[in-house]
Amino acid sequence: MIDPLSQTMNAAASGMRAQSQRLSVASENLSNADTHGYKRKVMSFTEQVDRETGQSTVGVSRPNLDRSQGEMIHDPTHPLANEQGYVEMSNVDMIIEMADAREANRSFEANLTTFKQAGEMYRGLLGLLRQ
Amino acid sequence: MAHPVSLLELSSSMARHAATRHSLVSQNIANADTPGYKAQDVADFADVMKAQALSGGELGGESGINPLSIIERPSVGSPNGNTVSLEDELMRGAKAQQDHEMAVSIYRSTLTMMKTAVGKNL
Repeated sequence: MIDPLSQTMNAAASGMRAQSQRLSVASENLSNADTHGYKRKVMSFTEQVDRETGQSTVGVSRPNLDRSQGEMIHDPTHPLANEQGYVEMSNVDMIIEMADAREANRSFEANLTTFKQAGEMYRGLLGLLRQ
Repeated sequence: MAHPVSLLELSSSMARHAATRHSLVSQNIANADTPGYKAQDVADFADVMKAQALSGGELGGESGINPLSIIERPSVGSPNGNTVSLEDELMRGAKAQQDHEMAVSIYRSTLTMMKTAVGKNL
């Protein structure tokens, strides 16, 4: 069994990595909110347990596409319009993506807090050697 | 009356307990958005000490109840089956850090006491 403080740091680092990937998916969706026919990407987290040490970290799944239909707008002059004169917009909901980005930010900060706490605990232990 | 050496053992096992709890808090926070994840914790240090005192085991020794065995903390889950509350975990993390700091301070002052007793100049 590895010592709990490095377990803390490993878990917090994996959490920060996962949350920043989530933030990057949200920002990809946001930046393509006006791309015609764009399908938003969704991803989910999975728990990963190291069998040897029993340590639990977090990983991300590959991003999937949300294949729901975007809003159809009637614009026959548009180059991407179909036979009926409709253009498919992206299926990105800005509010959902903004909320997701904000939540990723919050969770990232929580992971960072535990990482810093573990660092301080290490410093306290090493202080014992210094007296 | 606690013997100083057992005080060292006691405070080091308290520090180990706090570090273990802190690592579980950190794993819970990392998995705060994982569907179906259940929040984990260890038993309170005071409860473990009480159980060991009742069973006559040695304080801080390896015998008796394992203070580091992992339990699932019951709490209200969100619709995706996750039971981690970020605020709760952050509070527990800060508490675990304080406990660790206290244990290390006790360890340090016990060492100072022993050095004084053997007459070494500090």
